[in-house]
Amino acid sequence: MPSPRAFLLLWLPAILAAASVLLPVAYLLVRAANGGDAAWVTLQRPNTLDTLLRTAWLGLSVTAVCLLLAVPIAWLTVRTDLPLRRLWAVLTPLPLVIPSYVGAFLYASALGPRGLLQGLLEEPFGITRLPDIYGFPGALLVLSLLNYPYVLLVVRAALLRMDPAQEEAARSLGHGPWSTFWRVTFAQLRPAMASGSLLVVLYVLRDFGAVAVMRYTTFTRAIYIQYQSALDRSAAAVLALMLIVFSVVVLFLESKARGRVNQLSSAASNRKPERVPLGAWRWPAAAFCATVVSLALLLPAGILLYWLVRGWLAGEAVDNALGLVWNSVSASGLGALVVVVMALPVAYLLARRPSQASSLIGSITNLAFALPGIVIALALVFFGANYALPLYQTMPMLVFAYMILFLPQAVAAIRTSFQRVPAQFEEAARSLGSGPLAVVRRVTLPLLRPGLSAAAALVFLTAMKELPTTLLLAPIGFKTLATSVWSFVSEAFFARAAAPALLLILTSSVPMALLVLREENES
Amino acid sequence: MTKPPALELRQLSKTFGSHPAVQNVDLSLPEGEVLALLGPSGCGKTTILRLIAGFERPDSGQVRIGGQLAAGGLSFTPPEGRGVGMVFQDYALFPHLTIGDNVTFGLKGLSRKQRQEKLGFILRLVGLEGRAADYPHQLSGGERQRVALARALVPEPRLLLLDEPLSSLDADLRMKMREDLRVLLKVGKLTAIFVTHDQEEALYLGDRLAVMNQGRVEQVGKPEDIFHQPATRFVAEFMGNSDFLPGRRTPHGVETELGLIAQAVDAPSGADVQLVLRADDVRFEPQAGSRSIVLARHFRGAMNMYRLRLPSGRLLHAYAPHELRYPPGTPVRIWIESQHPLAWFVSTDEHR
Repeated sequence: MPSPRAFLLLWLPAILAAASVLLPVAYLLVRAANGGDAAWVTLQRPNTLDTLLRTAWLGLSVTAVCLLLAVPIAWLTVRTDLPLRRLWAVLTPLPLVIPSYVGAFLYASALGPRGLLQGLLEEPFGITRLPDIYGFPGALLVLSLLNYPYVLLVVRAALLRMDPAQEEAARSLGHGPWSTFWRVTFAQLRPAMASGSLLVVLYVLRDFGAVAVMRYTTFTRAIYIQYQSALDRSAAAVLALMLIVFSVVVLFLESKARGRVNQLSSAASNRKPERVPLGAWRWPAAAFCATVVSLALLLPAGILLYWLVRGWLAGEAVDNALGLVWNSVSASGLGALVVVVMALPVAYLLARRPSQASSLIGSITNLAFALPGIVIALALVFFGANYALPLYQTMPMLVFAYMILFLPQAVAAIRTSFQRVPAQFEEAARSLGSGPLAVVRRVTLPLLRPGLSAAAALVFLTAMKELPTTLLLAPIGFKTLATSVWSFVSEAFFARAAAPALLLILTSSVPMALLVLREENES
Repeated sequence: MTKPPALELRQLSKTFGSHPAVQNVDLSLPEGEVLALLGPSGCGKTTILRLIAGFERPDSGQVRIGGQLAAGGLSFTPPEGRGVGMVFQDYALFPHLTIGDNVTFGLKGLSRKQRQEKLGFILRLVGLEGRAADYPHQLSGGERQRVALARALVPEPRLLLLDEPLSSLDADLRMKMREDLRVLLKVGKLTAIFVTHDQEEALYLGDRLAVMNQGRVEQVGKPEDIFHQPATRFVAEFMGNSDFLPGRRTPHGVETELGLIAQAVDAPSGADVQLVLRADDVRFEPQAGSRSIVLARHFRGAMNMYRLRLPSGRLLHAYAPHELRYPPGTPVRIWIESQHPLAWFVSTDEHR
């Protein structure tokens, strides 16, 4: 049994954090059960099956496109003499900073009916109709171009860790370059590809912005529509529960795949692998990278700039831009602070007090990875309206939602930095006469500070971009950059949406850039 | 016609950037011989292995395997065409394949049954029966080492290369694996080169030794010859704790601080030379009033190793039976008593 003080300072907050994660799930279950027959009817409606199939189909298609884009880029930028290799290595992961609803509205405004592309084509060619971007093609395009970096980063890391002696061993055993590539290099990337793909599926399941803008009804959009129609809330609860089940399965598969990745990377090596000369393929390979960067990064940036200039020329004043930035920063900053404080005891227990109880708490907080923002928001809206009316649509409720949503991310980051600080430091301090709390204050926290600020920056970045939670739970009249982009876009005021969208990308990229720079300095 | 050597290197050179890793190396290896390539880290020994295996292209010179040109001029046979097996320093086992799949990775054009037979045979040989379905991460260091060896041996290479094969093991296991490896190499009548920086390992395993320094081969020969007749000062220093005693060539031998040492030295009269002394060549006994003294005694089990200081301040090391104990400061008389002619070098300024 833990001492009373340890229980009060460590276990109690950790249990509270885990309980918060379970709250929305439990509430949705209660809600669906109370719905009785209505819930059953929802489950059996053909619409529901359609939503399920659409979601699965979109997830699979996006994953396939992401693999086709990311795996070649990863290999080209790590293992070949690709021209401008470093430039592509820096540029190709960047689409991650574009929130999906921003990306979606930029592509829709350019490629949609009466969009920019059609305008360019109408005059010289007389083309007045383009293939419809709305629906599946648009959702596929946006989600693939914005999510392929997840696969890219995982596969790149696996390639960088691979021991070059492996390929030499295969060659000395009589296998030529092709056979070696497929049987050794590619074969070892498969777990990384699986892990990256499942991450992409998880993000597609969670995504609300892109499917909403592109009007492709997956679970998240179906839930939002049900919520807005507000006639039958238990139907929304049933859909949300289905989405959770779906996500939990994917999450489980992803953690298994990641385990396999870690297993394979046990043989780390310091030697740099040899770069494969591409020969005549150098320029087609560079053209491939250039095309991906143009489509996923330069095109959206260009369209954003276009709307910005157009809005400026039309004399559109950005209403209260500073206020929007302040609202976004304060809500996200407060969220990041609360998340880190709540994640700290959980991460400590996982890293320093491994036991069945602590790993149960860890698994529960990890479950939040499978809770899309819209699901948490919906559950808290119901909960607030029925049981906690004073908190309904207040700042504490929003911050609480952020806490649930981003807890697993923060726990993972802080846990890693705990593992990098050997427990011997703490033991040394104890043997020098410091009490447990003094050790935390004088040794653990100072050593952990970089890890804590990294975790906070990560949460801040994601919270800035978070749309559905903010949309449903923000106090009335509290507009952030994300919600104002959304409200302009839903009324097709693209020129007005451009300025907050740009501000959003800039403010959320700053912590990202700081993180990257610090990691480079450390390595 | 005589059989060509299993391996021949002719004037082999390789430079990385401005760092010459291998310089004009000539080496010939008859079939069935085990050669130890010995030298300090960074001396180019691993680069030579990689040139032989085909992982690097030489800048100039030739690699001939079984009389055929493998690298030289414009000709270059890729690693998969050389029939050379390699055991890597960290083994480079494929983590995504089982032990069985790792070991049979290099087998081609065989039926399933034949593969299984070969796998069974080699796993028995290295003492890993029943482990074919395990993955590399489930094995201990010594077991991985044996898998790496089995994998390299199964395709029956013409030549086996081993890159520091025992360096990743801890001391006990290293002794055991050293013996196993020697039996395996000898029973299989394998032609092999192994790289090491451990001279004991080299003396134990190598039929011949090649000592390398800064990209050059300084001496090739039988272990005894290299130990007792080092060709260069570097070899003498590297092959075991040598002391150097300066002296001057006279008609009757070498005149040194310890008196005249009757040793034929093929150098002009009056030349400054240095004699190579090892601890078993140096004798001493207490003698009051001598200006040489005992500095320290180190217990080495059967023997005591004494560090002695000559009047000039020069240090020598000497073995003495463990029952004789002299405290530091004891004045002693020192003489040389060697079973073999001492090695010597003409003094250069830097070593005076």
